[in-house]
Amino acid sequence: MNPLESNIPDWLKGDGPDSDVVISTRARLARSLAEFPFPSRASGEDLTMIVSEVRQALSGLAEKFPGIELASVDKLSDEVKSFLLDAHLASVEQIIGGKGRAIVLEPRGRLSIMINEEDHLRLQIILSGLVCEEAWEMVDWADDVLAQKLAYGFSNTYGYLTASLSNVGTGLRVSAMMHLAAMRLTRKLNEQLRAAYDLGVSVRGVFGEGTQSFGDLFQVSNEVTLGLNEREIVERVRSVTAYLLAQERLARKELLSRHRTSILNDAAKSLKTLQTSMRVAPQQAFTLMSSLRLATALGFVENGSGALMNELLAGMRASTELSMRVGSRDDTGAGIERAKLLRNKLRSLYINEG
Amino acid sequence: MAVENPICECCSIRPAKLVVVRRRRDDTYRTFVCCECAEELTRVYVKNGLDLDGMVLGMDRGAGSDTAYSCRLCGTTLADIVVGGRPGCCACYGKFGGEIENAIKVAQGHTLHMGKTPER
Repeated sequence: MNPLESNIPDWLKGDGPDSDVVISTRARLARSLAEFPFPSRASGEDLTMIVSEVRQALSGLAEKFPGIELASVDKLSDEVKSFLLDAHLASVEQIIGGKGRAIVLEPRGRLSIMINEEDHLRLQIILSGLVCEEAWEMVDWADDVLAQKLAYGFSNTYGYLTASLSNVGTGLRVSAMMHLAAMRLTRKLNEQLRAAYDLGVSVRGVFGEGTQSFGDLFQVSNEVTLGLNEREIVERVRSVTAYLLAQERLARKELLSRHRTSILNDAAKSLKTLQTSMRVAPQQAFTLMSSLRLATALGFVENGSGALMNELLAGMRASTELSMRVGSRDDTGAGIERAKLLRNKLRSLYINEG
Repeated sequence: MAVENPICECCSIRPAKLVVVRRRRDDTYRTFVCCECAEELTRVYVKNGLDLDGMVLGMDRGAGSDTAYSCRLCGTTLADIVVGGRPGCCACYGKFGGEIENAIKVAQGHTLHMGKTPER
């Protein structure tokens, strides 16, 4: 199987633990090569040499990630670039970075390595559900394999040296993407996010800013990469995510017992709009899909699945982010395509009042 | 690449000589100010009980643009690091030891690595 074919990555399948609320867990390591300037200061020749060094170090990874391949970003088609953004396997910066950028992928989409993004290497494991330890262990293994052949920039005082001072140390960012729609509907979101902040993590909207996140999608991640070891970072993110998960579950119970009709009504309206619209703006799509995903998790949507809901929520990322961040304000074409995708994928769904 | 001296963000008249760094949640805010406004700004922060993290970093443009005080591998100057918060390569961490340590303390609240070491 070619890793660059647009397969649905494992994490979108929604089969991990607690994936009704925790869509995915990601563990990312930032690494640099000691002898080269960081990518923002590196010459074209440096960037090419870095890609070449990493290519030679990859062979050991095939033991756990069969079918792993490296591709130059500037040689990828627009379709593949969109897929990589949708699947959260590459950043917008990497996609638009131009020559000298490369990406390492495996068919199941668990491991990806961005080469010459902000740092020389960004290793990432992304898995379905709340699995912080598992994600960390996988990325740690890949890191150790690469370290056998690559001379990482490292200081005994500061740890792994990175292009940004906010990543120096472990270089580890563990994050969980959560769907917290019920907490917003029961007006408990702000209070619970403040509690999470106080526990030493960062909580941000995946799309949009702060608590105004489109689609009720939030990312919980460690705030610092220094002063704690990797296991402590993993445990901190896991425990706060587990706390928010429990609060979201309580809020969903409350919705079922006290606002059942209202939830059904919202879901029916959302589904009808998505099944019939000819053009859907990004914010509207996120709002309607959030309502539908919540109703699916509560068992009100026939023919719906967690995988489909995840795919559609994530599937709007490429067009949304590119139009928002690259500067194109005209969403007309993307809006028509977005509506077509939603109509096709949702046409067999209907609301079951139970 | 050295960075031009910015204008003071408070008075918009005098050239900025200092950068006042404040941490809030997971974001770091830098305010470029002249000496006169820095004094006033610090007084206001302290009066209102705002945590400055004890950090007021001198930009020291003369030293910042001096090639003798730039990284020999990537050419990054002290000013680049203070203004942008970004070293240019791993050697910058050794070259600008004290300044980098201050900046790391501002960014992360810690300066000592507690995690793994490379397996090699």
